[in-house]
Amino acid sequence: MKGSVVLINDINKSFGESRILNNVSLEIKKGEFFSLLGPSGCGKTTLLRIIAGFETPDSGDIKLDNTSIINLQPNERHVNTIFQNYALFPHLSVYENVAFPLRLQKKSEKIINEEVRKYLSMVKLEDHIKKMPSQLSGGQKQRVSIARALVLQPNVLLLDEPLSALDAKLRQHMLIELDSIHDQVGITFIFVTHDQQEALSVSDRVAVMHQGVVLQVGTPSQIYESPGNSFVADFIGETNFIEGTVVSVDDKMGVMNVDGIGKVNFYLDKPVKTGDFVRVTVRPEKIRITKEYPKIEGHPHTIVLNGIVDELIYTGFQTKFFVHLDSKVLFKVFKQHVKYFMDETPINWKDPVYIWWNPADGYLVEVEPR
Amino acid sequence: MRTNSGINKRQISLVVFVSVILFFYIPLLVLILYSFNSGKTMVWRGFSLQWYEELFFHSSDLWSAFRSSLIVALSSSFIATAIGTIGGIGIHWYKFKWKKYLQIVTYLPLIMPEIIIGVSLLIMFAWLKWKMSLFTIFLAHTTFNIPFVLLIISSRLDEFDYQIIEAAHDLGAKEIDTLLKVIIPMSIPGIISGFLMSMTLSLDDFVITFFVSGPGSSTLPLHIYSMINRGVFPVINALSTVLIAGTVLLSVSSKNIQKYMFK
Ligand SMILES: Nc1ncnc2c1ncn2[C@@H]1O[C@H](COP(=O)(O)OP(=O)(O)OP(=O)(O)O)[C@@H](O)[C@H]1O
Ligand SMILES: [Mg+2]
Repeated sequence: MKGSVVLINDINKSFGESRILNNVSLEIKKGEFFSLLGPSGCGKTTLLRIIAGFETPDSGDIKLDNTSIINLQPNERHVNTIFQNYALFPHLSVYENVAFPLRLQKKSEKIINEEVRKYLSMVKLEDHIKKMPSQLSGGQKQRVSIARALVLQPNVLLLDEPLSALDAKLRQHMLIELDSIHDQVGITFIFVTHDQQEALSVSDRVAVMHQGVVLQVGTPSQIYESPGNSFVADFIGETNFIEGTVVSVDDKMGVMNVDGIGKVNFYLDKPVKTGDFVRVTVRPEKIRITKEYPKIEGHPHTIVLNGIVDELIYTGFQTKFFVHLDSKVLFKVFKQHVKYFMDETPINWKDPVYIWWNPADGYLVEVEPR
Repeated sequence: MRTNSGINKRQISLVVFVSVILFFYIPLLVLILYSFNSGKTMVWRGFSLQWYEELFFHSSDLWSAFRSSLIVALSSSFIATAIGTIGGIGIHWYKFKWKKYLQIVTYLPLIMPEIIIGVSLLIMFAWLKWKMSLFTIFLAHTTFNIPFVLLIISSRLDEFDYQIIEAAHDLGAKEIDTLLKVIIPMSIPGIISGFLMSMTLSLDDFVITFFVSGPGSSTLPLHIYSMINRGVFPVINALSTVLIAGTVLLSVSSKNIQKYMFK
């Protein structure tokens, strides 16, 4: 049996006066690649250290497959950790680092040799077996620490920002490899990161944390497309917020009045009454931008606004437009270049433009009854 | 006219370098030279090995003092290294109540004048009614060596990350496994330097040893001092030459050992 269900039940933790974790409860499925995502200082590492057994929570419980492990020492938990700075033993070779946990268990030399080689080849380090940690690159050290943590076949692997010390290209590469290692070993991964790209690209589910509170748990697309609140919407990717007072509601759509813009349609992702204050998020890549008034026959609900291009940033695969509406509201609009860029009629700085989107592409994040 | 001050700077530093070398090595060279003098005074009377012969075949007191020095140095360094290592690890990795004060107290002997340490040990041994012997010298040397070992071990441990210890626990190590298989092996370079440092300090020490030695328990530095009082320079020259050669050999080989061990 591989992997464990991890139940985190109502964990609280304070350091001195400050509350670091606030009633944190999570249920992580067997074999899941689960990410803890949140800004720096929100308590991710603390939660991970509580699961590993390096910190004791003030209250709450941690269960692996329905057995509480809260009173066990780190060396008694079938949970292993990948540390951010690798934490390799500097006096041991790559081989001996990976053999270390097996030697503690007094495994025979033959088994040690087989297991160490198996896991070192899984992380593609067969050729560096004899090297000392000081002779390895950052990426290679990280691989050794992965092999070392997996060699005991733990039920859960905890990874605390394992890629943050690597450069961007290598990070991407290691992420893909982590994903394939996860597929091979099939155990539960709990992956801590403050990088939303990382979390979205490999996770089965993501928990977004902020100031010691879990704000939302969901699949990457749930988190991205239907964020639980404005913080999540803003923290994950980039977005635009439109807010106003609801003036009318029918069975599927509502209309709000936005200061300086006027009437804007939105879908009723949550129940809304006339008079409520609502906030809708629209991702920049879902907004279209053209110089001419768009053809919207057949799409009567499309929202069309006009403004001036305030700034534009060309990034190769897309251009980011910052469009100033009459009302001083700034909108981000990302245009993908699916064709050779030079073929398109270019939109330049200070050009008057129309921006438009389908209300179905927005998401109603917050409703405040009035 | 020369205006290039860069050259002047270089000349100045060259002059400084050469004069330092001269001041440092000329006395040694003179000493080595005179160890081969056939006369007894500082007047050159021709080459001879008679002082070496004297040193190696007719100076049994000196050799027994040398043996005492070695015994004291080896035993006190060994014990001081053991205590200093355990203490350094304890202070570094474990948290306890009076840690800060303990740290200050352990480093105090480093800055205390030797003569005070010597006198205080003398008073303590007298109070205990212990006879001065090699054993009291051994105790004294162990005492002043411990802080040096502590200092060296601590600075070595400072370079390591506490997460390494956590990683060891995480991978199944108990407290004792962590100590024996991670912390101590990791500190080996520090332990070796601590031991070598202790050896040097112990072999060198005159002041403290002077207070705690008794009849028949002379170390090499004490013996040399008494020989100078009796006015037998040339043997000391020969002895010094042998010691210089030994020191040079030792430092070269310890470099090589370190290179081999810690690449
Ligand atoms: N041992 C400690 N003593 C006191 N405060 C601590 C301790 N460990 C963490 N904290 C505090 O707890 C808060 C959360 O820390 P934590 O390391 O869990 O954040 P994080 O989400 O992992 O952040 P990052 O992304 O920067 O690693 C921080 O404000 C930190 O200062
Ligand atoms: Mg952290």
